[in-house]
Formats: sequence, structure tokens, C-alpha cells
Amino acid sequence: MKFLRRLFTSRKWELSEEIEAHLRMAVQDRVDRGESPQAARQAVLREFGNVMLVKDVTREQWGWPRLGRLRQDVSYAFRQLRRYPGFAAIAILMLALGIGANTAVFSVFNQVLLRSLPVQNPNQLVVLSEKSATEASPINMSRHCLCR
Amino acid sequence: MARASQYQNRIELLQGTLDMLLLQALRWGPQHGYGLVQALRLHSGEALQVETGSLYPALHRLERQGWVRSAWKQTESKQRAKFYHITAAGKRQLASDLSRWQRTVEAIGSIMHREPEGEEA
Repeated sequence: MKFLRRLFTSRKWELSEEIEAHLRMAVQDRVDRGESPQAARQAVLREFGNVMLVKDVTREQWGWPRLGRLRQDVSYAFRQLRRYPGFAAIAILMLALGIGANTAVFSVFNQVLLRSLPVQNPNQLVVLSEKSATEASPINMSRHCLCR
Repeated sequence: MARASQYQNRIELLQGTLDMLLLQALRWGPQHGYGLVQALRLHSGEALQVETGSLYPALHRLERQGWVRSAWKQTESKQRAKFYHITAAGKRQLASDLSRWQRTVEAIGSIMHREPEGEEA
């Protein structure tokens, strides 16, 4: 991943360099024809257009075959869904119901069983209980609350 | 909306021919992007002004297809620039682009030069 990113930034840098060289040569030509460097630079930039946009569109050409294919797959999926709106509606409804039901159940579960109690140090809570003397345990037994 | 579609038309118009023009221009010798713009303008009698927004994407596309290769070199005026040169695959592509282009021109020409029937002009 790091390697890929380095490759990508070096290519980006190279593209900037390429366009900068283009601008320099264009400016030089105009200066040779007798324009002032500043006027030449301005005219060249105007002629060139949006440098950032040109870079963007150029970078798109490098392509990322895998990403491109993914995009095709996704757009194909959307086209198919649009072709069969009934199927799409049922699929979406089922997903919505499934996700909704899960969320509802989990939020209850979360509140009741997983969340710590709303006190300062819940792990220091103890439960005091009584046990009969016949058992070999102290009368007042304390243990850590299982809730965290 | 109108501007966007105008832009789209221009791109489509160029898409087929720009690659061919660039490959042809590179057959005259290795050249950098700026040089290609100048060469196409000069040899088309100032008629063709290739926009940089089309030029650089096209060059990078051609390079990805393996039809051109690039290398950084010094220009005559001692500037560093990225020069493109055409590959063997690029020359084959140019030949097929050219024949397709000629077929298109002939087809359109034969329609445009056909006189209306029954009217002897």
C-alpha cells in the first residue's frame, strides 16, 4: 500500500512537472516574440485553462482497472434494479426490515445487558446477600457485580 | 446544461481523431506535449488548436495502451521536458485508425456528394 502510494505521488509529481514544463516553454516562446514575462505567463495560463482540472482528467486516464471494474459492476447492479422495480422494492424492504429489527433488538439488549450502570465506578459495585449458616461460607458475602 | 452538452460533443468529436492525430504527429519524431500542440497547429494551417485538457489525457491514455512511450529529455533550449515517442504497436494502431478514418470520410463523402434524384443540376 505504501509502495502504491509512493508510486502514485511520484506520478502525480511527474505530471505536475510535465505541465509546468509545458507552461515554461509556452511562456518562453511568447517572451521570444517580445512579450513581457509577466504578460506572457498570464496569457499562457489563460490559454492553458484550468490546470487542476487538466491534471484531474489526465490522472483519470491512468485508470485503476480493478476499481473501474468495480464501478462497472455497481452501475450494472443499479441498472438491473431499475429494470425490475418490484424485485428492487422487495429486496429493499427486506433489508430495511432486517436491519430495523436487528437494530431494535440490539438496542434493547445493549441497554439492558451490556451498558454499565449509570453510577460513578460500576466495577466497584458489590452485591450483599445472606446465606444460611449451615453452609461453609461467611454470612455476609460480597462479590463483584458481574455488570461492567 | 447547454454548456455541458457542448463540451461533451467536443470531446466525442475529438475522441476518435485526436489519438490518430497525435500518433501521426509522433511519427515525425519524438515530441513533448507543447511541441505536439504547436506541430498540429502549424501543419493544419492554424486550423487545429488542440486543447491541453484533451491533449494530456490523450497522451497518458496512449501511453497506457502501449502505443507511445515517454522519457525526460532536454529540449533545444535546454529545458527538461517529457518527450513521447511512438512504439511499434502505436504504428499498427495508427494504420488501423487511418484506414477507419478513410472509410468514414468516403462514406460521408458519398452521401454528401449525391445529387437529388430526378434533378439534373
